[in-house]
Order: sequence, then C-alpha cells, then structure tokens
Amino acid sequence: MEISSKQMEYYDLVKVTGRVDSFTAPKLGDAISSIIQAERYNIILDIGSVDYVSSAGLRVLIDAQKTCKFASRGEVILVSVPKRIYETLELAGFVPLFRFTDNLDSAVNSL
Amino acid sequence: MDEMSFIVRKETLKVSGEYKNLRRIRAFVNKLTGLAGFGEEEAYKVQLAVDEACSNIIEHAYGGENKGEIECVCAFSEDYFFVQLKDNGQPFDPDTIGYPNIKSNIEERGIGGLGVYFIRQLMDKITYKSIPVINNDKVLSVINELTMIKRRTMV
Repeated sequence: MEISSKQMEYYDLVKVTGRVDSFTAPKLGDAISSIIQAERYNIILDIGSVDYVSSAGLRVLIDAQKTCKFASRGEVILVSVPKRIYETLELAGFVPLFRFTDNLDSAVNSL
Repeated sequence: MDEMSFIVRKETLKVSGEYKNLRRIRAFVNKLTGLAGFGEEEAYKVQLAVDEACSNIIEHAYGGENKGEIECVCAFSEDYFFVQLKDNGQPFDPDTIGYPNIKSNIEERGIGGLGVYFIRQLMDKITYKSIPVINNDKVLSVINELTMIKRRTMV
C-alpha cells in the first residue's frame, strides 16, 4: 500500500494505492490522523487504485468519518471507489455514512 | 449440504501469525480459487473471508503477532471449495460473536464483530471446533479449526 497526501486550501487530498489490510491499515490511520491533528477535517480520499480493503481498512475509514463529521466541521469523501470495495462497504452497511463521487472535481465541488 | 465429495486438489500453507503474512495467505487462496475456476467476484469473497479469519486469529486467538502459527488448508471437490484454518491460540468460537449493528447511525457504529459477520456473509457455511491435545492427562495445547465452505458455481 502506498499513500500520498496533499494539502489544498479547503481540503486534504489523500491518494491510496494497493491493499489495505490489518498489516497496512495502521499506516493509513496514521496518515489521516496527522491531517486531523492539524485541525483539518475535509478529507478527500481517492481510492481508485486500491484493489483490496478488509474490515481493518473499514475501521480506519469509519473512525476518520466519525471524527471529521463531529460538530459538522467536515467529512471524508470517497472518490473513485472500485466495485469490489463498494460492495465491501455495502456489506458493512457503511454506504449511507459516506459521500461517493466519481472524480476529484465532483468531490471538491460538493464541499 | 453434502460436502463429502471427492477432493480433487488440496494444498497447505503454514505461516507465522503476523499481519505481514496476510498477503501471502491471500495469494495462496487466490491461486487455489483460480485452479477451482472461481470468477473474480467469488475469488475476492473467499480471499476477504480468509483474511478476516486470519486477522482474528492473530488479534484474538493469539492476542498479538508472533505468538504462533496459522495453517491454511485449501481444497476443492467437484461441488465445494474448502478453507480450513488451524491455530493453537485461545479458542475463539465465531458463534459467540454477535451480529454488528449495521443500521445504526454513525456515532453508534463500532467495528467489533464485522470480521466474523463478513465471513458468515461471504461463505456458504462455517464450522468451528477446538480440540484439546492431551498427553498424560494434561491438556498440552489446543488446535482450533475453522472450516469455511463455498459452493463452486459451475459455469
């Protein structure tokens, strides 16, 4: 799994590639935590190049969403979610808890 | 479900209980689902179920990494694909894990039990047994055995 993040004016863009499992999920958690610790709560997560997510990865996503949405200060938006991963989010009942967009522009415009 | 059909292929992988080995286990399972002719969607489901089960073994049965081994046996017959995971940690019966509330609002969402829930949803049948290994009237260790079965859908 590889993570790259970029701080923009109104949001932080985090791009993840590869596999998010119990081994790699803590690294994703750390990347998101450092953004939140900077009191930045609008996080756009591009997971178009992620090919696997287990419940350990979902745990990171839900924790981030809980923190960002607290007191309506922001949210985590998921961009370019691959079909298998969308199905996993569906299985966990997480779909209603996130906004999904097909591309970065739509995500930025929805903020 | 009659799973007692003739096994046409069986392979075993043994790894130490470390999260970094999840990748190896998934690759191993993928190889076998490929040989069994599973499509990408079904193969993904088996891979995810096995990954969740192995993560649970490391986290709950062993209570951490490098505490013991995980043996993964994959086999298939004409009709079924079997994955059997064996460990020597604390018995962890999936039947004792309740269903997660997947309809609650975000503040109440936990993640506990999601792995077992996934396994139940992704596979067709799961069985669990914990066998004590006894020598000279003393329980020396246990072998926990989780068996997960998926029907092979013939194309």
